[in-house]
Amino acid sequence: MKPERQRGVALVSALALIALMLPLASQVQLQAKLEALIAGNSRHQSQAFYSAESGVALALETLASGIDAAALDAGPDGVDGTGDDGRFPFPPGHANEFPTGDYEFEVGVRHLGDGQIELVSRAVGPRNIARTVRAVVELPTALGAPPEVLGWQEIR
Amino acid sequence: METVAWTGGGPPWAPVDNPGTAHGHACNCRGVSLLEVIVAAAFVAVMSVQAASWVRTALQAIHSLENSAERDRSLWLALEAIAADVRNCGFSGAGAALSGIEAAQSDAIHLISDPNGDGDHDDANERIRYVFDPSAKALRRATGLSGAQVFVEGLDGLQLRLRYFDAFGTEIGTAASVLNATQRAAARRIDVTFESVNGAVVAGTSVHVRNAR
Repeated sequence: MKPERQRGVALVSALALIALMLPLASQVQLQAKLEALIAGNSRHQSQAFYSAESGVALALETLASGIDAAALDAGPDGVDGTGDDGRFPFPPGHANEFPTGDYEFEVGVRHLGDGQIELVSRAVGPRNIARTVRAVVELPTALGAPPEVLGWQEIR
Repeated sequence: METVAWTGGGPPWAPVDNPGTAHGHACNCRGVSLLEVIVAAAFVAVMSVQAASWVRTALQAIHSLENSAERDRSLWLALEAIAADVRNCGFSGAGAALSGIEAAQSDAIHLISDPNGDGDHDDANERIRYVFDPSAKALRRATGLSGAQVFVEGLDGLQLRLRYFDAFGTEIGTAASVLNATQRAAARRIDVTFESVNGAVVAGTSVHVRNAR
């Protein structure tokens, strides 16, 4: 018995459906990639913010442990008139990363007068995402006394 | 109709049981009848209608997802902005004590700060107000003395809810109350949420008033 010749549109239908679905699938994929990028940026923003905060916290801790007010102006190298003046003189070997090595902070210091200083901590994370925090601090008058934070601001 | 044998070799997809051809294939050369064309066209039309329906549904789903994602992104950006402004309120560049919350209620808050330390809070970005506008289904933000601009819109079925807590974590005021000066000065934490009308939280954050003393 001779078999019937196979006819139909299954292949054509399938191809047409695939052609229709392809743009939709690519649109969904694009949307998902965009969402992932936004979520990643948001996470880096938050981490950079907390990294900048940790810079201020570390500076406050250093101030509480006792530091000569005059030494604040000389920078980490302790020598006035050099390029690092204005940077907070953390003790050697301190970590300037938080919470991981991807986020680095740098703290600047400036005298405001009346025993007050201004700390500006800027942290930079992946994709060059940066956040900056500023604190106005009253220097401790006695050794071991905690410095008082008079004001806190995030600079945008 | 009569089937004519193909003697010059048949295509490989032709039936294989015809011994009279070079490849053992036969060619069906009868063509297609009008009826077959009509049936095929009808079939394709039915399939196309079904496919169009699927595509329409898929597009609607994508559109809905995009709208939902866009609204969620806007809500989170608004929350971040509110949180940053609450954290900054009460800051004085001169180190002076300043009460950062000028007015507070469940769906509005006025914040002040003095970043340049000149003693007033009339300069740019020294006074910020957030107000939820239920009729426009929008959150409005105003800076300085300017009028409130739409900050987030399309908040169908959502409302802004601000809850104030003191240093011990006790909620200050009630949902409908306007906080007085003593209550505002006692506020140390503010929970900011976007809620549906039945109280379900869609997005929210908790922020400390850092400059409160």
